[in-house]
Amino acid sequence: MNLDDLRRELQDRAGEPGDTPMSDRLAGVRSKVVAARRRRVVASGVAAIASLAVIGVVSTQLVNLGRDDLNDSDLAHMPHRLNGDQLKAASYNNGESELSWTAELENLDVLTRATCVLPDGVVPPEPDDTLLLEWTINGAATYTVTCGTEDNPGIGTNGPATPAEWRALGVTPGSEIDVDAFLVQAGSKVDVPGAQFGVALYEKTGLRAGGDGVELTKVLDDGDETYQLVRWKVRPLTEGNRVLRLHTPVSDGPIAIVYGWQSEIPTAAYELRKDGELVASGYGGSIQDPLVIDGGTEHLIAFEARGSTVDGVLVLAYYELKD
Amino acid sequence: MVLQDVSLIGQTVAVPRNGRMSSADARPATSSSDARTVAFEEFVVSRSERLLRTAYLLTRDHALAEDLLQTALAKAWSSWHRIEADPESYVRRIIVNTFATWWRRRWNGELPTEELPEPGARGPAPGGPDVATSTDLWAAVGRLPKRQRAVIVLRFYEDLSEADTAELLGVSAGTIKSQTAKALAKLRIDPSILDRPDPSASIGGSP
Repeated sequence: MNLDDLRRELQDRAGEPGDTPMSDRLAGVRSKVVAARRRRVVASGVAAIASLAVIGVVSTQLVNLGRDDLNDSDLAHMPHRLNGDQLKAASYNNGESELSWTAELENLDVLTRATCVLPDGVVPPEPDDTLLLEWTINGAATYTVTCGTEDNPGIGTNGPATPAEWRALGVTPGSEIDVDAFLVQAGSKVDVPGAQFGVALYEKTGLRAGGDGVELTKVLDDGDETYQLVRWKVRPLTEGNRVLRLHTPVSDGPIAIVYGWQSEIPTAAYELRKDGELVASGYGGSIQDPLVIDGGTEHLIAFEARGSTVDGVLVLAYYELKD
Repeated sequence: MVLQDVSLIGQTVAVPRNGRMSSADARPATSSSDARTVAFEEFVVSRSERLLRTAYLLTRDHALAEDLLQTALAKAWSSWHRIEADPESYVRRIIVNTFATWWRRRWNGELPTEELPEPGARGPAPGGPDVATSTDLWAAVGRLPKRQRAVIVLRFYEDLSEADTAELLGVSAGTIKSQTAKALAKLRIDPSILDRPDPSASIGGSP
């Protein structure tokens, strides 16, 4: 390969036309502008759609997968390695309205990760009618995640993630767990044709840091790039201490901010600000997906819990891109 | 000309279905806000196809490229009144930086196929382009990390200098130099290119 080959290749490939009518493009821009405005105001929330339907149950079973099983269609939907952790098992709805799944845990150093993606065109945010993926373990413990879109999927990592949390559910090494997952809106099961959701189990093979019951992985990866944990703060929320601040230095590449308010009672709001500008907001409950920002200048990142609830732990960390 | 109404930011303007709009097509601006909307839409109509090509080279997927373009345009709209220099460069900067900082959520993006591709027919057709080389090189570019891929697109498709690429990505020129060198080295040792026999090399032959 020489540089002329490369230039020619890029020119040829770039010449392949798109087929989006201009009117659709403008409408798409408009919808993103409106959505961005809403995001500034609304913490989270998704679509009102969905007709009630009879929910059929599909059952799959994946137990302690070996490497060959990683080509299984259920697993194809999940990243095989995530932040240093290894995918061990997963179940996906594959077009069904509900999934029911049994898996065996060899050990308890395992975390759960649920995802929910709504089909295109099903996303006007209506906070009162938020569409949730609800999943239960052994029919008792219940967890939820707000469904998202293909570009911004709902991802829930608020299931059990430590040996103590598994034991609290009566799970011991070698025992089986039953996982059920379905969509819920306004407290009732619903069927949304085209919705994609699943639950996965990851063995915690990645290194971790943190404190006060909060674990941060030392690396973050998004499939393309890897970020390394540089500095973090973890602090119990108290009446007089509702804000965490971190200064991030100048770096060559972007930095990833991990933030969250881990709480059993996620009833109050949080705000994340970069140099005073609001960049994210939501409600407590779990650590959020990373937010990637430009590292070309210093930043002051502030994470603040608002509202009356005094419960849980505040988390703020930044990661630098690993070359 | 068939026009349809498209409301961009709470205002309705007419856009031709075929996507080409001359200034005469636009309704007269009645306020600075209207003028801003019209100017923005004219920009979208006249420049977005070119920007889409850059987005496609980065994402390698038409739908994702369109989404990236629309995301960048939506971001640009919010500060449109502040753009004094070339808006195309401004939007290109947003496209590249948005792409580079998009947290990848579409997992590995690999789509299973029913059948493996034919192993043969890698050589060029007589008198035709070397399809195998093209396909392999395109695949190798796709295996580059996002930031290196962005640097390659800016340097060798947009023909930007190291300094301009550095300014656009908000990093030092030295970083661009090293990223370019790393990306080119990766392309040169990519197995799909390395393993491919040189079609000009002969096996055996006559004395």
